[in-house]
Amino acid sequence: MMQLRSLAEQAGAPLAAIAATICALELLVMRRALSERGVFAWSVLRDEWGPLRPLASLVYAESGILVVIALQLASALALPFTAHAPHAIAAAPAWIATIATLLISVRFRGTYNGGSDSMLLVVLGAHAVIRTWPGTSIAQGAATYVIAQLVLSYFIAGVAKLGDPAWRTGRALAILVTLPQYRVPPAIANALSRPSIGRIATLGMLALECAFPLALLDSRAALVFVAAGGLFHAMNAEVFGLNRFWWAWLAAYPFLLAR
Amino acid sequence: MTTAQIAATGAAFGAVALIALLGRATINHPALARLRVLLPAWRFFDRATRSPRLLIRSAGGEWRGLDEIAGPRPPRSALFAPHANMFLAYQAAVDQLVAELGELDLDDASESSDVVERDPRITGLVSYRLVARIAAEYANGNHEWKIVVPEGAAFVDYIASPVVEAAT
Repeated sequence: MMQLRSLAEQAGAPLAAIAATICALELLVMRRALSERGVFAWSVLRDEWGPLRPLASLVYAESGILVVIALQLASALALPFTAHAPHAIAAAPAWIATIATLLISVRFRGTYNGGSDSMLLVVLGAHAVIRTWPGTSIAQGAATYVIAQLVLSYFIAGVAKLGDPAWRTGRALAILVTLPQYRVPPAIANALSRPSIGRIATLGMLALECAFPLALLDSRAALVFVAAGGLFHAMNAEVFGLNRFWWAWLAAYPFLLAR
Repeated sequence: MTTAQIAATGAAFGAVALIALLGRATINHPALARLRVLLPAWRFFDRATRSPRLLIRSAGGEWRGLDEIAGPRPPRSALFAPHANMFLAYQAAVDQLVAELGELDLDDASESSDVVERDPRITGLVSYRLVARIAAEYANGNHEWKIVVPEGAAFVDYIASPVVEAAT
């Protein structure tokens, strides 16, 4: 239990803090999109809220959501520096960051950045629980939950891909790099479109995802899979621009390594 | 690990896996969909297929994809990517409109082949209005927008806006 608390706090909390800080800063840069002049104006989104609209408007109108993002930023910055404070003080930034991350996702009708929001929420929530009930079975349960979500995030993604012939035959990445929303740099897209490179990368990705539960065997296996996973997410960030996934998953790895 | 701990861990994994597997199939209600961040499905890129595309045409111009108008992804976006991630959020809004229209059941809808949409039950949808605002964000003055979806090797028109006059 001491190992869990130590590693989760010493490595996990700073990584979670970086992940949440990036999320908050990115939205602050793009705050116009959340304003009444932007795409995600509250005057449009509120129409789905029915009787909850007055209450939701307090949080989600332009000034309210900026406060939520500011709270996410402030609590993320406080997270690494409050690890050894009394329980209530240590837990507060983690809870605030968790709730702010959830509120932001809900305003975007589910998620802003897909699975990266979910993983960040899992990690921040675990820190909140571990800091609130340190050294208890509740804290152990929260850590186990992070590990379960982490392992399943790879395994389910891998197994789900097996149903698609493009993945099984190694052609999938060559297709995905052409999707316009990712605006993959042409040099990378061309390289991954070459059958030899594309097939190796596609099947390698599939193998990593499907085999990830082997990380649970022992600490050395966990280290190998964490290193491979970190490299995988770094490549995803470079190829597809999925930077938030890298940080969110990095923040989850210490729970697996401390198991 | 004791047998009890192994059993508890196995049960936890099973429960989380079940939730993840059921997640996509069951979250259709808008209120529940807003909380889907709590029930991740983890099915990243499970089908290597093309996505719906939003195309925009300014008055008298050619249809252009959002990505063509936006240009290349900004540099260093592997670390900090505010614009690239907002761009992905825009694409998610386009995907969501297509998904909602696919589930919409309008008994009295006409069978017209015209994809220009004027039905207020559709143009009033939050998803429709979000996509219209995305188009307005990238358009220059009066414009039209449409969404095309992959069908075989080609893309076909799915829904289109009337001419939208630029806000004054």
